[in-house]
Amino acid sequence: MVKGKVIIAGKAEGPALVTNQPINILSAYGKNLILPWKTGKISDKEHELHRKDLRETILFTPFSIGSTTGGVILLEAIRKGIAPKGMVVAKADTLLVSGSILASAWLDQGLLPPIVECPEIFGHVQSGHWVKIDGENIEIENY
Amino acid sequence: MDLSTEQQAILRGEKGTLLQKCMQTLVKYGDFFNAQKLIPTKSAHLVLSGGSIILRTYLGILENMTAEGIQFAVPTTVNPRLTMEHLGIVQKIAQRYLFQKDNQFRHHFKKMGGIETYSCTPYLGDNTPQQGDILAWAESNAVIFANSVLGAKTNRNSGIIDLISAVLGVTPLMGLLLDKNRRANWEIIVDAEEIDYAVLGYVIGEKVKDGIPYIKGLHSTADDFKNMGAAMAASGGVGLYHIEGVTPEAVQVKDALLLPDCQTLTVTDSLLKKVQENLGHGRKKVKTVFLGCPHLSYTELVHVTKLLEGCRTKKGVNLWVNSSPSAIGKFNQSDYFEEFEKTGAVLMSLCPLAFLQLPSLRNRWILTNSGKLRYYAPVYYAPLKECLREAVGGDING
Repeated sequence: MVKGKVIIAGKAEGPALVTNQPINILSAYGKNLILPWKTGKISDKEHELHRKDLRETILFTPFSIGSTTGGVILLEAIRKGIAPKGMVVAKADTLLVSGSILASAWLDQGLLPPIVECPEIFGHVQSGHWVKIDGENIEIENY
Repeated sequence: MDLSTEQQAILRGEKGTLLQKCMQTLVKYGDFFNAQKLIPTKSAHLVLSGGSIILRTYLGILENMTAEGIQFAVPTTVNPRLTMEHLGIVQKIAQRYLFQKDNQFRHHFKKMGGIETYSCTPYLGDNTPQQGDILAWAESNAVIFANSVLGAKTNRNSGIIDLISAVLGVTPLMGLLLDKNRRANWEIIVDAEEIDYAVLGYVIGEKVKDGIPYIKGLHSTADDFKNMGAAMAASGGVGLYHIEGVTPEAVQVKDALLLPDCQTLTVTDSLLKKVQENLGHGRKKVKTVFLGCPHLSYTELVHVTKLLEGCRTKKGVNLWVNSSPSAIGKFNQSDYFEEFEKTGAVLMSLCPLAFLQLPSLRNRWILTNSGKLRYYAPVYYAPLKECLREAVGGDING
């Protein structure tokens, strides 16, 4: 078990999806928010996770980049239920933290996915590992 | 966090529950990054994104603010809208749906005392900061320009955080507001004869990601840096760069700005050419040439006019030139406007990122000189002169 720093407190478990490429939140989720139906598929054609649906996964990504609408887009993706089940980042940036804090303040608590900053876990976790997040604790089950 | 008496009162709810919630949010944001206090800002710049239906929470907060009569505490400017002008019929229908909140956003923004600049380049005159000014801006291209070229200090603030900071007039003292966090961890050596600034920005952003680059070997103008920074803040999360001998902090502090353990990247002509080709790859024909993401400056409008003098756009090709309402106002009064009109190019003042969310056949085969637009939309990249040659179907001046 590894301890991280909580950005959004909560519990989730699921298969890890690990990328070493930072995520551009606007590019990843902007289009999905316009669609009348729900899809969690990453629409950023520049990202290696392009077209991957992250809704049932725990996403491991270094941090977020790009447009400053990023925080709002993360908040709205959480509201719509198309964000990853949980997220672990290596380095919390202003946009990801803003989006998380805003979601915690303005959305139903039941919608919130746990988000944790934990640089130590990168390098150990691989895509497909079963991961449990509980508050600051992150556990890789079949590691 | 160390809060003033007034800030503590707001946090206790003495100025209403909405401002209390805003203050709580800002304090949490600062606490996460170990900010010691909230400090006053000189101005704010908001993203709002043209009244997009996506931004439901943003609009809800704005509505509640005006209902309580809350005003901006500092001068506050705003990003472009997506106006109906220049849209095709299908796009107009889509606009009515996707950007249906535009009038509401505008109404609330005005009511709160916002300055209706509707441009992503507030730093070109509408809301230009001085060196050392503390800001709480959003809009990635404006943040990086204010920090780097003007030497002001702002973090890469998210939407809604921008609004909350504008209303409270303060921002947590952290991140890029602190000199110790403004030193460069990347040394970029530009060893190239022909520099395409948008491509250079794209390359640097992709490489340094959230780092701070110190760039050597550049001697250009603010307009080039504008396009470069916008790309850097799209392909990466860069909020500040330094240019040796050019940007204010690099001029004052010089090489001491470079952290001793910095990484190095050398950018050559062949690298720039390779990336330039990649960003334009797959282009078969061109129906529209889109310039101005970020908005072109007045000087750039004049430059484009001079390049196009005596030329006219090819039949079936649109040349859309996007600039801020204030720069267009000045340009309309200038001697260049008449010449510009003859070229067949169309002046507009919208947000291309928002525009290209509208489904339409007219959105196919778009060519742009913007690295930022190339990142976010299905468009092809080419440098300015090539864009203009495509638009007129032949040679231009220069």
